[in-house]
Amino acid sequence: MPAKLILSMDGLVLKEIALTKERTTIGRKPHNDIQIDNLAVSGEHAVIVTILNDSFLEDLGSTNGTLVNGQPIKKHFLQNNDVVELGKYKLKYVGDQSSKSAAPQDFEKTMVLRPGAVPKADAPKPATSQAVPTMGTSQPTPAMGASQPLHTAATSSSQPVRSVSASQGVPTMGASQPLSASQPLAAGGKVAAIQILSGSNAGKEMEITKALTTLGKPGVQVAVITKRPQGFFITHVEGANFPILNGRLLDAQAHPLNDHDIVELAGVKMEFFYKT
Amino acid sequence: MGTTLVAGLFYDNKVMLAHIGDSRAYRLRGEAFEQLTRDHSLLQEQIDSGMITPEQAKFSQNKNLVTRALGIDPTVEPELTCFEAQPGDVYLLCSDGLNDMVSDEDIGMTLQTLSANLRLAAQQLVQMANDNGGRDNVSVILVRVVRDYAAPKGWLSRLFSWLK
Repeated sequence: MPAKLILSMDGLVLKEIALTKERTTIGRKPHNDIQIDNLAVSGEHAVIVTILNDSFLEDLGSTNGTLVNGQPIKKHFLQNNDVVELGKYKLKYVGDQSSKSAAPQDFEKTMVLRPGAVPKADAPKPATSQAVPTMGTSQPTPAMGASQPLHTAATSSSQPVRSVSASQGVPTMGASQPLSASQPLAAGGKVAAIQILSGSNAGKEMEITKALTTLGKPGVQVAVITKRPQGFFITHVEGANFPILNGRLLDAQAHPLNDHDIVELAGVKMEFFYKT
Repeated sequence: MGTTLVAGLFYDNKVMLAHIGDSRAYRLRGEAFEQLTRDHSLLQEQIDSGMITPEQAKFSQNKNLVTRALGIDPTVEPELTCFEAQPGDVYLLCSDGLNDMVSDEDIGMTLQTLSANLRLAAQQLVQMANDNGGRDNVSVILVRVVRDYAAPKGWLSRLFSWLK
């Protein structure tokens, strides 16, 4: 299902226009794809360029301008539910829903575009040309997993270049949060902190706001607290000694942190707790 | 059927990168975290032509469209790029499953924070991609340059450089 525009005036829906063409023109003159016969609208007012699933709105130097969500624009990358205003008329942009809802089920498929298959957007095209790029084949990207381009087993210190690799073929469907790992909503929105209990910094408190917070002395002993949607975890990073959690020596794995857990690192005791 | 690829050859204090599609290589040098490869993708072409900004690209629906891939035609030309390597450099080779889900800023921050333990850093990156939705499979390779690795010169080349 292609993206569409819903044309309305004073809250009254006039019509729906599917964005099936590469260029959809908007203006007062009859040759436009979307004709709005109103004097506040310029003869050739604006154009929407659609490339596959993305649509771009461009004002064609209209007399009264084009607004998107109340802001005047020259060029705009349309997002779902954007409202375009030309004079008294409103065009609501409704993005392609079908491809979005299917995406989390399947892997994000890597599609191949043949060179030249996609019309160049900046080149002027006749308004009638349809954007139907031919797709190559599609497949989930197994990426570099199977055939590792590097010799990865180099753990001996005689090698000048050391490498490690990690890969995961089947991703776990966690909470689907787009981008930014340092979201305030991670870890169920709870705010956590560490209070130092012993040593010269005893009494000091530090809120854990970042996705990763390191503790300890670099080169001696370092552990990291990671903030994840499920909660907070502590993992050993470097040093011969592993951290002690509630009197128990940890291993190399990540361990979940609970309210009022006591962590001992490089001889310093600290308490992890949730702030209310 | 198609896939993307990124490969690195470390030789004579250099790193030669080959890539096809939108698998990427990054480098952490000191504080600077940089993308070394340029995707062969529709989105990259749109950014290059000035149609959209890198900021807007994050919201594009066309992330998964590559303009070059492995396994479509009998042969494919990889893009080759060469960089001088320095001791201390950390190289990250990854599939787009990582950088579509985790911002460059967060990837760089993770490498910097966990550079003492690359195995953990690699696990952490995969985990972050999955915590953020993990909509694609994620492959991560981390490489640290531990010391100088100039190739030993043969007697012939030494002779020539002496004669010059």
